Amino acid sequence: MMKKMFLVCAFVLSVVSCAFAQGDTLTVAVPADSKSLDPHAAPDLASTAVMTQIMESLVTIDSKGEIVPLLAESFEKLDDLNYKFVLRKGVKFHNGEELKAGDVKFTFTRAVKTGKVIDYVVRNIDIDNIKIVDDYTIIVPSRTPDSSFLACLSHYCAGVILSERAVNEAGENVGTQPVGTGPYKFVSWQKANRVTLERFDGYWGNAAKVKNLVFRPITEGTNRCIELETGGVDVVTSLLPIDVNRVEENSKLSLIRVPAPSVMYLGMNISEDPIKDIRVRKAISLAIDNRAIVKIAFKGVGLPARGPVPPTIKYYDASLPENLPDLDKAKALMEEAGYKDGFKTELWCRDDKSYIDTATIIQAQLKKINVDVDVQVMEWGAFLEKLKQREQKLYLQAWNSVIADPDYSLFGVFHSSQKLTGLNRSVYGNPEVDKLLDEGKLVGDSPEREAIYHKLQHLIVDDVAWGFLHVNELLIGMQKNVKGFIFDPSGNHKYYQVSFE
Amino acid sequence: MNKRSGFWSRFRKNKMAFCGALMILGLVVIAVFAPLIAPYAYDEQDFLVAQEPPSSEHWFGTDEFGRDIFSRIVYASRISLEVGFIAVSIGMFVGGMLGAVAGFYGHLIDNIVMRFMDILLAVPSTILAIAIAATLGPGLFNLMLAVGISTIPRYARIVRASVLSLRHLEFIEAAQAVGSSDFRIILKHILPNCMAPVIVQATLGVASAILNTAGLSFIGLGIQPPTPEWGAMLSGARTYIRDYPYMTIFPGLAIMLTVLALNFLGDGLRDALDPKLKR
Repeated sequence: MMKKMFLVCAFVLSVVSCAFAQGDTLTVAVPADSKSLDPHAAPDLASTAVMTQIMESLVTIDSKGEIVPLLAESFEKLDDLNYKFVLRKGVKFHNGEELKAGDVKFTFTRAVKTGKVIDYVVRNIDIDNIKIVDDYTIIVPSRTPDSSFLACLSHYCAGVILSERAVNEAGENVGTQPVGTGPYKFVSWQKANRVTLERFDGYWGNAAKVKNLVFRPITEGTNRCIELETGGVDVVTSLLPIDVNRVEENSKLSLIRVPAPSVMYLGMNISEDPIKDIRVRKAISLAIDNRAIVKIAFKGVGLPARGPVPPTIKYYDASLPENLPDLDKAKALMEEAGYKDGFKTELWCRDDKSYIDTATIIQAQLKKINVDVDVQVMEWGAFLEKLKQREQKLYLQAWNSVIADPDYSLFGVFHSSQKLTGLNRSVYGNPEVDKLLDEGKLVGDSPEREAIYHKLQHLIVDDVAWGFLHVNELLIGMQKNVKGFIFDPSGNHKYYQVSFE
Repeated sequence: MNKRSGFWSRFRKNKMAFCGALMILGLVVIAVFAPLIAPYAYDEQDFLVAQEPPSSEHWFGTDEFGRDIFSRIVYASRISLEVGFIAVSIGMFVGGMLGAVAGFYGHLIDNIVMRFMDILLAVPSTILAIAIAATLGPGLFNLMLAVGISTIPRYARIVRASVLSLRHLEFIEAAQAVGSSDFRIILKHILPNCMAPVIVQATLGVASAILNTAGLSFIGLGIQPPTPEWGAMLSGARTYIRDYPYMTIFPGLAIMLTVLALNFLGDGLRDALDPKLKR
């Protein structure tokens, strides 16, 4: 009986594997399933990592951090507000339609009107004054002068162009029937199991080298690595730090390690006592040894953070001092602030192993300055919802600069206009910081802009607006025979140039 | 008197049950005297000895923060027993009361209460506990409540069935004839007479409550760090299962032995209390 079952299983497996012959299919293991494939509804990495194969934006950021044309053949800044784009001719959507200026206008209007979750990216697009010059020329104005405007249009989901007809036809189902101009077209999506894409033969650029592209969400990190080792998947986009050595030592596998454009921080609700007191915040920061966090919670992967801007983002100030712990000074500051006997507080974090470990370490370290921390681990969605309500005291979060501009790293999280509803979840406000952040948006790239952002980093570090913890690394593992992988610092790697050797 | 000594002699003859009872007794002793037994504090971090294999200094090794796993398992027995017994008490008390009332009054009340219990029973108790814990939020008290509520319908059914069989016996009618109140009859005459199946169910229930607690903690709905809990320890260690398997083995063993002991005990009690059921 068992033997029979085994034979049947073996037969089924062999049929399945024949259907996807090796060399024809690239399988990528991702840590989470996409939420939606509607670019205006799901800016999370799990969703954009898939969408970025299917859809494209007008402009993109190249490996040097420069903005270069993509769907636009060329672009031009006409004045402080207006940007002219000349579209590439003959670009086809997956439904056969040709890309026209009307699609661009339609997409941006939809993004601004319906895209609540991407509002922080597209809010500055002045949709009422978009001018279509002809089918291939369009002028997109910005509401206020903004030197990061083009960078925003390169955003992985907020900036992509959709087909007007496809969106209207899909109606409610845009999120499960994505249509774009990208090198891969959508085939099917089995929730929590796999998203299957296929080469789009009408692609305007170089056609994809591998015919089928499959994304498999595997939530357990250990299992992602085992799948890679056993050859079940070709690429794993986020390995656990503990598996680094295992992959490095395996002769069949290769590993890419790159610093991520993100900073993990200890958020502190500055609007509330006793955290309002800068001496308390300094004491907390001085009591935390972020080297221990790197070593224990991240197994030595990544670096201790020094400031709010990730080191790979331009205008990062390398002169910022290391955050070294000083327990005596911390205790003295607590005493000075009138909290010699400490206080009770809460620390919220998401239910991710590294975050829980970090919280546990911080809890033990703050105990030394008599701060009694109650760690509360929450599910990701619940965590974000509670942060929105500004009930937090301390919380752990990472801010990922998916747009490679210091404005993106700082504005949303530190400008006082974002205190109540935006991403400024530490409820931080400093008029001088606000002024510099506004200025930084106006000034084009120059030594002057560099000076502004250097000053900002020092101001924010001096105010202890966050406790700066960790700059992560992206750990990507793949089979040795996978060639042509293009790494993207935001995690939205493109696979159309990947091939098997 | 005769009945009781019969129970004891039957129970003592059952070696597995006796063994289970001893193990549970041992566990209670460990939980009560945890601070004396554990060589380290459960939240004492020492990064210099992080993830060391079992040794004479750390019997069960250390976890990723250098905390002594043996000490954490010892302290965690407190949580498991606490949640196990309190959750079962909640279920037993509320469920027992509802079942008694339903069985005693019958008709409409019976229908309302028991149909509601059927709705709860239709959802597997683990799923129900997850739903309740997710709604209430994580934490020790909510955990006990979630596990407790999810067991209510089982007790309600058992008690109702016993009450139905007792309801029309002479001694109840006699009590009614002398004018005892319904409340007194239920409490003094009916409930003591249907305790045997409830005790058996409760003993087995503690085992499943401990398993449920570990399960909820494993998926992050239970105890919050740094408090040790077997399920949470397992969950935290699963990342390291390939390199440091001892981190998962010991908490896993603790859960297994406890649940096994409670099941032995429960089976033994059932056999001893109700010899007719014996194979």
